[in-house]
Amino acid sequence: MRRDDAAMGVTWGGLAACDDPVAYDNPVTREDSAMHADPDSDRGGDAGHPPLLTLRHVTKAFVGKDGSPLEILHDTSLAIGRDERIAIVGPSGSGKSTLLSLLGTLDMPTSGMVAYDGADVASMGERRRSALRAERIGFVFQQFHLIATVSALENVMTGLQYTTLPRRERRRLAVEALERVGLGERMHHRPSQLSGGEQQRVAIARALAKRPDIIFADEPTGALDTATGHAIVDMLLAAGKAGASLVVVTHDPNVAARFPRRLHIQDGVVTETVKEAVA
Amino acid sequence: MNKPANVLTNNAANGCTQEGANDCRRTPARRTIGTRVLDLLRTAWFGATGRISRTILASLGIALGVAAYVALSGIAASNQAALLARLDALGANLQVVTPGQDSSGQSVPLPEYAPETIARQSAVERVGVFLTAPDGARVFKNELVPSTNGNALAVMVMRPDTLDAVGVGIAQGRGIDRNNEHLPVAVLGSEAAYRLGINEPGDRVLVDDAWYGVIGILEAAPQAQDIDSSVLIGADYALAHYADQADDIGRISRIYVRTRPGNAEALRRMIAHAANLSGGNVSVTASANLSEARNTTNDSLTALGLMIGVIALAVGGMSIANMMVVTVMERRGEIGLRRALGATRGAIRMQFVTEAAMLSAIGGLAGVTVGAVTAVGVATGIGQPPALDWHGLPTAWAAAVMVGILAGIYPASRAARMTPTEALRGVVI
Repeated sequence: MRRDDAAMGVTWGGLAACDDPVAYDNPVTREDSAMHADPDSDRGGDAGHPPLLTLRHVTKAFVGKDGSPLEILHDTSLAIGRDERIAIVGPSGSGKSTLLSLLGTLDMPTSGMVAYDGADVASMGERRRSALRAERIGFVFQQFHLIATVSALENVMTGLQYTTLPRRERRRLAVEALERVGLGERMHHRPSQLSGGEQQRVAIARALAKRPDIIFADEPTGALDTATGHAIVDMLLAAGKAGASLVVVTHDPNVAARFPRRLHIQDGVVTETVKEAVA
Repeated sequence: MNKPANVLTNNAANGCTQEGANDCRRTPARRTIGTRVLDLLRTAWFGATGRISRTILASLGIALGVAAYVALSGIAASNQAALLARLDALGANLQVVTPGQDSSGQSVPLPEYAPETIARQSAVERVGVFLTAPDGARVFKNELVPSTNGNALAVMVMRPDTLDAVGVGIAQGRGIDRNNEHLPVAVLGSEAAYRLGINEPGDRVLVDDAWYGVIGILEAAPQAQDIDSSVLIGADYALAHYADQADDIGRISRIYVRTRPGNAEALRRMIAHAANLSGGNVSVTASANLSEARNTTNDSLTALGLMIGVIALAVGGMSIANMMVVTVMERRGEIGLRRALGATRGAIRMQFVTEAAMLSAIGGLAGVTVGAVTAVGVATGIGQPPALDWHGLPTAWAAAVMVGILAGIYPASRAARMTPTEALRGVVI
């Protein structure tokens, strides 16, 4: 994997070597929680350090057209530790995106509990949930979701707009993140002047700039060709290695195969398929 | 794993302990107000000006409204400035003497000698005398006009050379002088000539039962506006013709006194004393009531501008609201993205309200500019002193911004109501 990074020309090594700002966690905690991230086990978290994200008996239902509830996600319990890299695989309509929305605090479960760092997300209230997303969660979308009318740099800075950082600091972090994804030369280009892969790299820079605890990527390669998609996954995995947990939703088994932990979801039922020990 | 050795540099720099790392890794606890405002304005600016043709279309209504108001009120201000300049030029050294009232409210007639004693004063240049008008005199173009169709024209009786003292210009023909004051001739005020349909001297008018030859038509006299709508006849002829009212007509109704420039108050005292040597009350006033002219001249034009402005602002506000609704629908993806990036509902609402306000601020600014240029251009074109209603400009602009804010509230709350997942679902920005 390291060799792949080098081939991509991505400078993760350089970033980790000196002032790696992403790695703000206690490194010991990270390793431990990754290994014991099972909510149903008695050791749901390390002493004093619960897993980063915990789902306990979470369900999600929508009201269908005929008024009857439509359950998208059945009773799901799950724990995601720090520094984990997870692929969520499943056919379309299986509830992948719904699961990701719940994990990313974008949506609230119909029943059950989502806990972030041990704190119940439902009891946080809208304002604190927003602050949580602003400061600690990064998102990458299939359609990139870049703002078309502003430059790549402004787009990455948007990722920091809702943090409490002063503007100068935001700009510095944004430039840094763009350089990290290899777009240091193109930061004043608008999205329309960038290729699909470059646009997705801007989106990754936007997620990275805030130095998140966890990055959620919803089909990040869905709109890209295979080679570009492969490079994007490299970049995400490298980001994961540099200190953030990573959860990627994909329907592509080749992409999923590159993740040490894989969850399969079908008809709203989540099953753990592979869980390799952290390398 | 490539664990950097100085893993806690960032936190240590912020004075954070290892245990509390997650809670205090961001330097400030909150964004400062300045940062918030700057963020809001920048975001709104990029949002509002992202699609430039749409920005122009949406803010056009507001621009037109503000421009209409600013231009019309500016033109009114120019008119007023021109009129006041003329009034000042014509009426600055003109005083009017009229009968005073005694303590019981009775009118004290001006003594017969008053014009002469006033004329004798060293500061006085000319004196013009109006006598009392014949009772109920009515003016007609000819005998075929039914007697019920009066045209609200007055008859004024004056002694020779009075018009010089008043300072009314003669547009055509000549005035009433010593050679013709005993003849049935008349001079028409500008408005009177217009209403009677008389364009040049040589025509005649019917006053009560007598024909008068029109020998002159006057220019407008803003310093003595009642002259404009009057038919002026000579004193000698009037006294002879209205022999039954000779006593009344013989009384002086008004004396116009053209003085040298000087202290108005001292001049007024001097004239009052000369007008009634026995100390009876007289009234001496500046000829034209300038403040009244100030108020009456341009109210209508400003009111029209205000009306057009308000209507156009309302329409402009609706077009902004309309466009914002479309924008919000189109930019659902961006809204969802921003929610995912940590924007609260309030932040989204503020963003779109500010964006609407930004649109109307831009439109308002364009409107103020266009309106001001128009007003100055029109004033210059017709030779008036260019003037603008300076207090009105920021007010008009502020009104435009307010309209924008109001227009933005509904679309913005629609944007804020969307859930992040709704907004993100399959929508491309």
